Amino acid sequence: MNASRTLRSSLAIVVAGFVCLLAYSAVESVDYAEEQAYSRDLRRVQAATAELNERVLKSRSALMTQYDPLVHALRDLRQLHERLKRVPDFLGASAAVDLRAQLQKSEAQLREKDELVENFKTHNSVFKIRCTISRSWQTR
Amino acid sequence: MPRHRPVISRDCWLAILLVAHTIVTLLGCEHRQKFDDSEPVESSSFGDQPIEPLPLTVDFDPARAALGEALFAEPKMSGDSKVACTDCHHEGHGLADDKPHSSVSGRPDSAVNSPTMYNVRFLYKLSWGGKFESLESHIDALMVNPKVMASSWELATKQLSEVASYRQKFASVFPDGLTPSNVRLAILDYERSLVTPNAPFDQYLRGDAQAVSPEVKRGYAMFKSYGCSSCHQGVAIGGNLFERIGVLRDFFADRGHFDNADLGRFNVTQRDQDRFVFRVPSLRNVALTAPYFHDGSAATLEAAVTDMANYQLGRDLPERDRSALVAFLRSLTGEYRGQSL
Repeated sequence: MNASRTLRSSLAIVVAGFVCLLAYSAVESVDYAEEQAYSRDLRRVQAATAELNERVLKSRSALMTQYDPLVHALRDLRQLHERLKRVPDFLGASAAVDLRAQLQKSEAQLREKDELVENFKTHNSVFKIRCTISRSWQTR
Repeated sequence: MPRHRPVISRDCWLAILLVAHTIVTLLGCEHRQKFDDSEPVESSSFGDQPIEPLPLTVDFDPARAALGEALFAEPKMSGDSKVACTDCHHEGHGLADDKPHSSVSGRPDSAVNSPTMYNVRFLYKLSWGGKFESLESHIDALMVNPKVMASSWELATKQLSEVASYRQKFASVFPDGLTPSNVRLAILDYERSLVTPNAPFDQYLRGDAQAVSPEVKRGYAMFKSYGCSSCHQGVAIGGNLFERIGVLRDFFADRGHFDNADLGRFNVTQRDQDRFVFRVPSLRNVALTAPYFHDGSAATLEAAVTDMANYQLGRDLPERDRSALVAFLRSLTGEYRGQSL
């Protein structure tokens, strides 16, 4: 009788422990697919920023004769920031707060960059027009 | 100890340097001349060009777009059931307005010229001042604007639901049938479908050297050498930057007056540097969309080219160059649904 009760108690403890373990893993587990996608987007911000910078330099050096690549790079960066706003749950509350603060800073920098690129396109176009005028004077 | 005289004197060195400099300069000029844009491009194997052809196919839902096309011409979309989108964007006029300022029933005249709707998906901002960042934000604003549709998605849906054919069509396209959200989606898909590829000049850019005349090729060379392509470039040949109207000569001083709409981007940003600044319009199908500029002040393509050369490039164009430029611009008229516009 006692042996049976001990066995049942032990079984109950094992089952309860297993349930607790399952609950813990459900709460604390990391969704690797989500984690990878989010990490990829974070790294992509750096890559996309570098691409944008490169395209501005190319445009400034007349190695690129249209502004669509600048517009696309900025659009990609904006879309990345939109996606990054959805912080994965597994990061925890304090990490999410920290990340959101950094994202806000990054968004402010992006807005500033956007404005600078706009000004660059406008001024660069006028500069190119003036170059064509000066070239035409030289050939006269 | 006798002092050695140098084999080549200092004067001689100077002379050699001078000759070398002259040779290098002349070579540089020759090199530059080789790439002079005033020479027509004869080869169809282009390098980096300021203009890109429009894609031959684009993504959109044809069933939704067909529904959106019907809604585009539907007065029930407006609050008073009197105004349709086609009242300002005429199909027979490159989906633009043939009047300088649109004038429709029960509305004040528009402050600016209504631009074409073709290829809007390639523009990075919409409206002359670039107020809208996306097609979505643009149509949302136009729906509630009392000077335009004076409506709402809910009101338009209610008015459309009175028509049995709309209820049936929406039910066949959308699982949840006629809803404000689906009305909006249908219009958006129609706007995204408005792409006009395969213009003669696009065919030329894709390698068909016979697709355009020598006059068009000369016009393209002029387009680049005069500096038009400084602003009008990319797949839409414009539409991807802002520029002041009257870069080198004062457009508004010559016109003699200006009003609030002439402030352009300033009306959006309130920054002084944006006064008289506008989104550079796309030149796709430009031959179909007269009159030109935000104020519709240029009645013909020839007048628009003359004014742009004058105010933006500081040039007075010889007639021969102007004709070539106009011929080039006419070669930018594309096809819609396989038919030349």
